[in-house]
Amino acid sequence: MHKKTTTRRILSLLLAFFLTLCFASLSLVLVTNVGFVGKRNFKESLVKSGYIQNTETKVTEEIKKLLEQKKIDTSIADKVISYDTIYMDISNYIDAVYSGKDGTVDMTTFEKGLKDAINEYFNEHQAIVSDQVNAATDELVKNASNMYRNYVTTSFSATINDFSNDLQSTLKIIGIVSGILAVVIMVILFLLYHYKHHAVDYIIYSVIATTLLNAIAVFTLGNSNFIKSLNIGPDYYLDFLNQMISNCVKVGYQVTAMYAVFAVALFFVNRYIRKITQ
Amino acid sequence: MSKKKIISLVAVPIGITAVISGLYFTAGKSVWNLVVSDYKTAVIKGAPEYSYENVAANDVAASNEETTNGEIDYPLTGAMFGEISCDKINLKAPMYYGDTEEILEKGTGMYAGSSLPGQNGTILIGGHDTTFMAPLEQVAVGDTLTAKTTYGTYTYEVTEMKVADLLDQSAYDLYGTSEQLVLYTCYPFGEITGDRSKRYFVYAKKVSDPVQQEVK
Repeated sequence: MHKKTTTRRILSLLLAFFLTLCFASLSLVLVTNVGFVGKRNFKESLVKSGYIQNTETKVTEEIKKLLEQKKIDTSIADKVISYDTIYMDISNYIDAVYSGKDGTVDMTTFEKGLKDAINEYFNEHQAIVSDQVNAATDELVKNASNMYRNYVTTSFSATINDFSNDLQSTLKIIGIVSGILAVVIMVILFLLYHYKHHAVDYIIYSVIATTLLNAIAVFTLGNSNFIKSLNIGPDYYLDFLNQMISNCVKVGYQVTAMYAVFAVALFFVNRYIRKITQ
Repeated sequence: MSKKKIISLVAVPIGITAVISGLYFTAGKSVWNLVVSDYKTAVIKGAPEYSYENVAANDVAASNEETTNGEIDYPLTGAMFGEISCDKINLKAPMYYGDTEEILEKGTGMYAGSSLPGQNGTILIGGHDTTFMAPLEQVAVGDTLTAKTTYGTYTYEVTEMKVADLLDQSAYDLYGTSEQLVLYTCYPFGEITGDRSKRYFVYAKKVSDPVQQEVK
C-alpha cells in the first residue's frame, strides 16, 4: 500500500513536470502571438518608438537639401511632407507586405504635390519658367521621389514578416501538441486519485512552476541587450526593435500575472473541493 | 493549511523550475540561440543602414562610392568594415573582421589570417548556412559578388563552387598571389543536426577595383 502511494506520488510529480512544460509552451505561444508577431504589433512599435516621426524629419531634411541646391524656398518641403502622409505610405507598404502583395509605393500623389508646390512658388515670385527650369524641376521631383520611396519602403517589414511567419508556423504545432498533452495529463492525474483535490494539488504545482518560469524568462528577455550589439542603424530603427521587444515583455508579464491569478484561484477551488469531498 | 502542505507548495514548483532551467541550459539553449540568430539576421538584412566601425565621419560616403584614394582602411578585430552582396541570389550580409561565434551571429566574418579586399590575396569569408550565407545555395558560376568596404567597392565573378571537408586545407590558398574571394559555409545547407564536417566553398575572381579618385 505504501509502495503504491509512493509510486503514485512519483508518477504524479512526473506528470506535473510535463504539465509545466505544456503550460510553459502555451505561454510562449500566447506571448509571441499577442505581443510580438503580427501587423498590429509591428505598426504599434513603429509609432511608439518614434520611427515615423524620425522618418518624417529625415525626409523633410533631404527634400530641403534638394530644394536648396536649386535655390528654391525650402519651406515647400513642409507643405508636401507631413507625419500623416509618411505614416499612410509606410502603413500601406506594411499592409501589402503582410498580405503577400506587391508593396510598390505609388509616388504619383507625392510627385504631383511637390511639383504643384514648386510651380506655385514660381508663380508667386513671377519666375520665368523656361524648358530648362522645367527640366530641372522634373529632375528635382524625380530625385525627391526616389529618396522618399527609399524611406517609406521599409525593407525590414519583409524580413521581419518572413521571420514571424516561420516562427508562427512552428509555434502553431507546439501550441496544438502542448494543448492536447496538457488535457491528457490532467485527465490522467484525475484518474489516479479517488479524492480529486490531490490531483488538483499537482496541477497547482505546475501552474506555480510555470509562473516562475515565465517570470524568469520575461525578466531575462527584458534585460537582454542583443539589439544594442548589432551594428545597424539609424538609432530610431534600433528604438523600433527595442520597442518590439518591450511589447513582448509587457505581454509576458501580463501572462505571468494571469498564471499567478490562476494558481491562486485553483488553490481556493481546491480547498472547496477538499471540503465537500471530506 | 499544514506545514507539509506549505513546503510542498513551495518546494515542488521550485524543484520543477530548477529541472526545466537545467534542461534549458543543457539542451534548450541551442534551439533558443538558433531562433535569436534567425531574428538577428532578419533585422540586420532589413536594416536601413549599417554603422561601420573604425570609420571617420567623412568616410561614410565611401560605403556607397566606387571611388577610393587607393588606401586600405585596416579594420579593428571585431569591427564591421563592409558588406558582401549578390543581387541575383538576394545575398546581403555585413562583413566583420574576424570570425568568432559572436561575429557570425551578426554577419559574415573574414578570417583575420587572410587578405583584405584590394590586397591581391585570398579573402576568406565565412558565415552560417542557416542565416547570412543561406542564399549561397543558389549561387552559380558567372554570378557577380560585390564587396562594399569602408575604403571602396570591389566586384568579383564566381568561378567555381565545391564541397570540401572542414579540415581540408587544400580547399583554399592563403598565400595566393592573385586576388580571390572565397566564401564558405556549412554543408548541407539548413541542417542543424547530423554530420556537420563539410563546407561549401564559393570561389570568385576579382573583376573590378574601386575607381581611383583624381589627385587634386
